[in-house]
This record gives sequence, C-alpha cells and structure tokens, in this order.
Amino acid sequence: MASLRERAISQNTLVCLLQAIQGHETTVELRDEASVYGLIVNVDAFMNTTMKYCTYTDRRGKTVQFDDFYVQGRNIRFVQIPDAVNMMEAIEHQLGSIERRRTVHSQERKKMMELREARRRKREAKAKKT
Amino acid sequence: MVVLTNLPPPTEGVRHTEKNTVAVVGEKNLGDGTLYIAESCVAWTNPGGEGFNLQYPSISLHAVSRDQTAFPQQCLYIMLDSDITEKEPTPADTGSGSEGEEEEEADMTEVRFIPQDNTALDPMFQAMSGCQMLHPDPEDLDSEEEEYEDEGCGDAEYYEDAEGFEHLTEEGRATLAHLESVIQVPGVHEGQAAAGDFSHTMGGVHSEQNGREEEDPGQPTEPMEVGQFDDADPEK
Repeated sequence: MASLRERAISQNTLVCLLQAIQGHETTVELRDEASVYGLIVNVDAFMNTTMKYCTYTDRRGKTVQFDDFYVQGRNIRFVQIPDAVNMMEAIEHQLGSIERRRTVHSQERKKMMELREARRRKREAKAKKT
Repeated sequence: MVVLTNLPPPTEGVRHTEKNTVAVVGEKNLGDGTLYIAESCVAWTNPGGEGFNLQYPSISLHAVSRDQTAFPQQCLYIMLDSDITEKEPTPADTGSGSEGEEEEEADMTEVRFIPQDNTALDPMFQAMSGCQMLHPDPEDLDSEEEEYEDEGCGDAEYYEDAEGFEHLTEEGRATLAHLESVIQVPGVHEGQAAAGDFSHTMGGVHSEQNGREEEDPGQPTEPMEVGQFDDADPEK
C-alpha cells in the first residue's frame, strides 16, 4: 500500500536497511535518550517504526513493557543493526523485493507515461499553431 | 493543569471512537469521556463537552501498555514532545540556580487513555498508527523528497510563466513562497521576494531556468509538478 513516493524514498535512501531488519529483535535508541528493545514489525519510508513486545527504558533507566509500540521517525536517533545481519546483503535483498513489487505496477505506470507523452505532444502541436 | 476547552469533537475522518474512556494527562485524571481518533487530530471530550486535542506531529510515540507494574490499568500510552501540563512556575525555576534540577525536567507529557473495553486497545493503536502516517515530519518534507516528485506527478499540468500562479494549489503556493524565500534569484531584489510579489518573481525564476538550460543542453526536460521548481536550485 506504500505510495509511489514512499517506495522511491525506500529505494533511494538507507531507510531500506531499516526495512530489511523487519522481523528482527533489536534496540532502537530515541532522541530523548530513551531506548526500546523489541521486535521490529514495520518501518515506513519516513522511518516511522512499529514494534511489538517491547521493553522501553526511559532516560532515567526506568523500564516499562509495551505490547505494541509506534515511534515517529524523527524521534529515532539510532537503530542497532543486529550482528547477525549482513548489511550489504540485507540492502540488496530489500531493493530486490521492492523491485519485484514495482513490476506489478509497471503496467499502470506505462499507461501514465503514455498519457503524459500524449499531453506533451498536444501542447507542442498547439504551440506550433500559434 | 491541562486546559480543557469547549472544542467540538472532530466529525470528519474519524477512524475510531471509543466511549467510556478515562483520560490521564501527566498525573492528572480527567475522568470519563469519549476518545476520537481522527485523521486530523486525537480528541477527547468529557460528558460536559469539555476536552482537548492532540496534534499528530506533537505525538512522539504511542503504545499499548498492559504492564500493570508500570500503570495499574491497560491503556493507550501517548508521549507528547512538549510539556502541556503548564505547572505553576516556582521561584527556583525563574532563578539561574538549581541547574541540576532543571536538567532533570523532561520536556514531554505522558497521556494515557484507559478504555473500559480492553479489547478496544488494538484497534485504537492501529487507528493511531494509520493516522500518524498521514502526518510525515514537516521539517523533512522539502529536503529529500523533491528529487522523487517525478514518480507521482503523472497528471500534473505544467506552467512556466507568471500566469501559472493562478493554477497553483494552496500547497503549491506555499512551496513557491518557501522557494522564493530560499533561492536568491539574480536580478530580483530581496525586498520583492519578501513582499510576496509572486507574479513578478516567478518571471525571475523562469528566466533563470532558461539560463541554465542554455548552459546545459543535455538537461532532460521532464515536466515537473506545479510548484516544484527543483531544477531551479543552483546546487543541482
């Protein structure tokens, strides 16, 4: 359901590395020095992150359990990439899966480009007349 | 103390409504009321019609808390990025002393919504997440994403002179105004740009584009989205 723009961001920025660790358990460090350890469920193109089964440690060291957790991308300072993840492979694999999803939409996109081209030609023809 | 106002609850784009929900802001229990999770904001009102609104960009995080050692009831936990509880300023706060204590003061507010029906927590969380995605970071918008505009602008019309200004959407005008304030256009005085004389300065942007195209004939002439003058940026 990601929009074209979101997919473009995923493809062109390192947010795809974070998307590659969906399904892993790791620690996300937040801007206010709090941190949260848990299962990464989803990372969107804006780095908004949904997690599950979390232990949240506030900046004073107090811990709280959260079953479901959602944090805005701009609040994230670090995401610890688990040692078990090979970053290059993870990025390449992630880009590959984005590309596969993309081909599903390529038909739609082609139609859009044709429309755009037709409009451009129409404009050119109009410009020639005047 | 949180300021309760008589704002009517949102009526459009409401993703979830939860009656019999207790609101706790900071340490203060505001009693029973109705929670509205709408696309524009999160609102809570008590039976007397008084309530408060939370804006998505100010919500740092939200979570489902079932940890009863941390809080005695299962709740939807929300952390705001500012202190809205407006404590009475104490003399120590106004003075320059007691630095240690001031640093300890967190610039945030905890809000808890406790629905009578525990099973509502999951749909409440999902509704919040869905709405939060509709409000990407405003500071982030004009930095990186313009590069990818081409991906989604299939049906945008393309204007290249002052006449086009009338056709700009409100968002487009805002973007243009922002670009005007950022880009130094040769031959246009700063005063005019600051005064918002768009029709004039748009001509300026246009002429600079032409200048660039002469220098760089290999530049692809893809139509761009209205109001997105990304190739007018001298850096690119």
